[in-house]
Amino acid sequence: MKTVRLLFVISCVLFARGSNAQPRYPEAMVGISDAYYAAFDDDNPYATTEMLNHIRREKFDLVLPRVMREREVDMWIHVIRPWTWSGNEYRQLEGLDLNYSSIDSTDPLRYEFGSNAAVLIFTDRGGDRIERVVFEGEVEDAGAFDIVRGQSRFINQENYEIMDYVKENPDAVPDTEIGYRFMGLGDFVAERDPQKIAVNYAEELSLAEGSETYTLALTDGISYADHLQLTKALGDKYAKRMVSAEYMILDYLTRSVMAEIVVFGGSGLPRRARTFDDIVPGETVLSDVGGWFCTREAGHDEEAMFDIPLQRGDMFQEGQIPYYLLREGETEPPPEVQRSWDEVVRVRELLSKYIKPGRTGGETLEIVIRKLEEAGFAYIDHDAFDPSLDPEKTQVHLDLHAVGKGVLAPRISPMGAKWHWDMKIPRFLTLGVEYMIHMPVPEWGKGRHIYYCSLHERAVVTERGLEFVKPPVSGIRSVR
Amino acid sequence: MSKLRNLPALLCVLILPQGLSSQLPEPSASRELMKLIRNEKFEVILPQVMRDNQIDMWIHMKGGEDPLDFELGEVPGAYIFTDRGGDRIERAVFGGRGDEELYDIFGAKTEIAQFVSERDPNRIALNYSQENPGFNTISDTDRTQLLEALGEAYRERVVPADRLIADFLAGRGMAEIALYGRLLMTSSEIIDGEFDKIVPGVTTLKDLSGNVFVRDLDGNEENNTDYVIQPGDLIGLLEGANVMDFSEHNGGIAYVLREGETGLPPEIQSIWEHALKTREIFRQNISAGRTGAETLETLIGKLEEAGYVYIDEDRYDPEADPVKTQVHIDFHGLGRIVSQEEAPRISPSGWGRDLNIPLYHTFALEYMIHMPVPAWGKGKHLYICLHDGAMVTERGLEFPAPPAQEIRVIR
Repeated sequence: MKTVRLLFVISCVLFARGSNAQPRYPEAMVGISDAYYAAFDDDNPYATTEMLNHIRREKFDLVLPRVMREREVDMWIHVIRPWTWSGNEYRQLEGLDLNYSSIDSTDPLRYEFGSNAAVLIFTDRGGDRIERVVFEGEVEDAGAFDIVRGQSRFINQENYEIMDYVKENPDAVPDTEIGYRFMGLGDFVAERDPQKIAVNYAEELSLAEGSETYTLALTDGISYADHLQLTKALGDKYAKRMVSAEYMILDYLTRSVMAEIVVFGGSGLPRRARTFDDIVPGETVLSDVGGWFCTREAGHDEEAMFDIPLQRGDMFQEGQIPYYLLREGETEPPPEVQRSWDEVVRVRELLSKYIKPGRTGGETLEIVIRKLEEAGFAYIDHDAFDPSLDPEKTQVHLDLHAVGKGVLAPRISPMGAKWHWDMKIPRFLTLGVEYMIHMPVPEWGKGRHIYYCSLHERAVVTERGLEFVKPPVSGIRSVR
Repeated sequence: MSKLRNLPALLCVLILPQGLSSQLPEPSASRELMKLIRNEKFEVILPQVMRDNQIDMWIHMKGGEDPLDFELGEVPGAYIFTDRGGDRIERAVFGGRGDEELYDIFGAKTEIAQFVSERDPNRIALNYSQENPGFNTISDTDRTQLLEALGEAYRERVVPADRLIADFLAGRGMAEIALYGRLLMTSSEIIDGEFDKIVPGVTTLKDLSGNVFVRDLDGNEENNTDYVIQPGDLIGLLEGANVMDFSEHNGGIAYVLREGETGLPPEIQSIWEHALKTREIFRQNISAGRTGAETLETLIGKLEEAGYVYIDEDRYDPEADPVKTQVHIDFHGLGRIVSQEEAPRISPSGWGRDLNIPLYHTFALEYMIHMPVPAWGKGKHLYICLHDGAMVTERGLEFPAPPAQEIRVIR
């Protein structure tokens, strides 16, 4: 699995370098290609600043009240720790026409709140909406908030403000400079008198395992030092009311508004199919074209195949698209190869039917396995051909997971942390439809099979099932 | 009264070039995307609308041009959809050709009678309408021949398919919604580009693309004329984006600063605040499942509770309370060229008023604000038209793309 993903990334990089034809658009925010791939990446011209701001506001209006009330949270305090973002990186990126230039943070909600350093407080004060306050810090989209108090005067500790403040207020000096960001927070909270205060620390979830983004694991946000300062600022009465916001944060991240579906639908641009006219059978090796072999033997070791020349009759996959090298005299792939594509589509249709909101990833996995087996497939929990299984049955491995938001959960897969499977699938989850088929071809010899990996095809989960927002791959392309 | 009811304006919106000076790519419709949308409509919309309308079999006799050309295919023939239970609807084509990946059965027209009797449907929808001529698409000859072939037993089970067709056209899959949002973004960008072109005292309304209008303080309108845009004008501009059968149009508003003004004057700011306040009222009170007419009644009540006067024509009512702002509503369907008029409609007029608003209905949140300014004289008022692409989900009203954010200032 990991090999497959690594190969995919490598092939994307190689291809991107070699391609001049496609326009490149300003990256929605620093590092977003890694963090939010498949939605807000730099190939998506619809991830504009206006759209990203709009999504933020729609989520505040439509999602925030629901997730807070479902979790019975009266106040959500989210601390994005300062001083963790890289000023050097920021300076390097300045002037690159990025949609957002200042959100190079590791906080999983840095885009949702539009900040790389802030103390944000959301309070349910009744009515249809949640009060949104930037207690301390700066945000990209101030209009999305009701109150923006701005950055603490003391955040830049190189200057004279702290020195002057200490002289003027000797009895009201925090123990540490970190505490300046929380000054006045106790009164602010007391005025709203919340019964339950969710704060962005983790108690149960291995959040770092929640992301497939390589460069940006999810974090639990608040630092230990900030937690101490927050506790102090809240005072005993309110500090006791703090709970972890971890589940609510996942709820918030994984529930999409329609504008997110639009962005997730992405460019709508044609898939970058290649012709591979320059392949010379017997000479061109796999690493020249990228991707991986689809025609395989039992015990296939992809890493050993990079320098193996492609031959007529081989099938390989580059990106999401499978290619078949026609043999002399062939005008289309032979029946067994075409049958493998029929199997891909059958699995896709089955998944479309049985993945629905409301069930957990694990429950859905059980259902899908059962339906696959009823339909004559063999389920495998590793992405490797199992030679001990019925040679008449196509083997299917599953790893469908959330994409587009930097979060893997909920996940319909045997892999990952348990909480990935335990999470309920929300309506409008943006799902990467990732599954692998290994179809034995006994007439080619024992253990020989055709492999295809459906890689992050973009779908949305609705009550009607799985709905694709961008056309999935439609078939095997022939290379002459 | 829809701002796009007149044909010239509609043609402007649909035909004018897209993507001028664009950062966004020109909307495109790949064969794969169109096929995906068509397939999703068969898979997820068709079973729902047939069951909602209690139809066991839908026979659509296609001759020439037809509102369902995109959904069914352009080739003439008899398209028959049968609910045989389960998750999907059986799809058959007789006397025509169809995509073999979309249709299950192909046959000759002479086989229709036997095909129907084998399935023995209780209610058969046929593409005629006694209410809406747009859906009265079966020819007399086809109807006569079909009813004769069906025989007396099945002939009596035939009902009009108009509401079923309207529901089918109004149904949206997620791919279609994503395309709708992209088109909305494109038209917003075009509108911004048109406003960029305005040189006060030089540019005329007809120099700009789209449906461009200015009303004076007495409500007299200049619409796409050679009227020269002047300082103090409040300009409305509707412009669209389309790709194949998919179409939408959006609205923008701009104000031309007078000499000495540095921002919106208080009256203009005030009418914008009314636009936002009423938008919120609409947002809170539109949901799926009710008819357009029922929803309109609810909205009128909420508007009046909030201190507005509802008007059923887009014309200032001089007899109404002179301090109250007047609001007109025409939330018509959006997203498909053919389903803008024959779709659920929250409006004082139109056939679609009696249709239920389905989940994921895409429509224009089109409303007009007439705000009296008594200080300027009796009957004097400001006018703006909001026209934002919206849709209905389980959560209520959502905007798949940013609605108008402000009255644009032109210096």
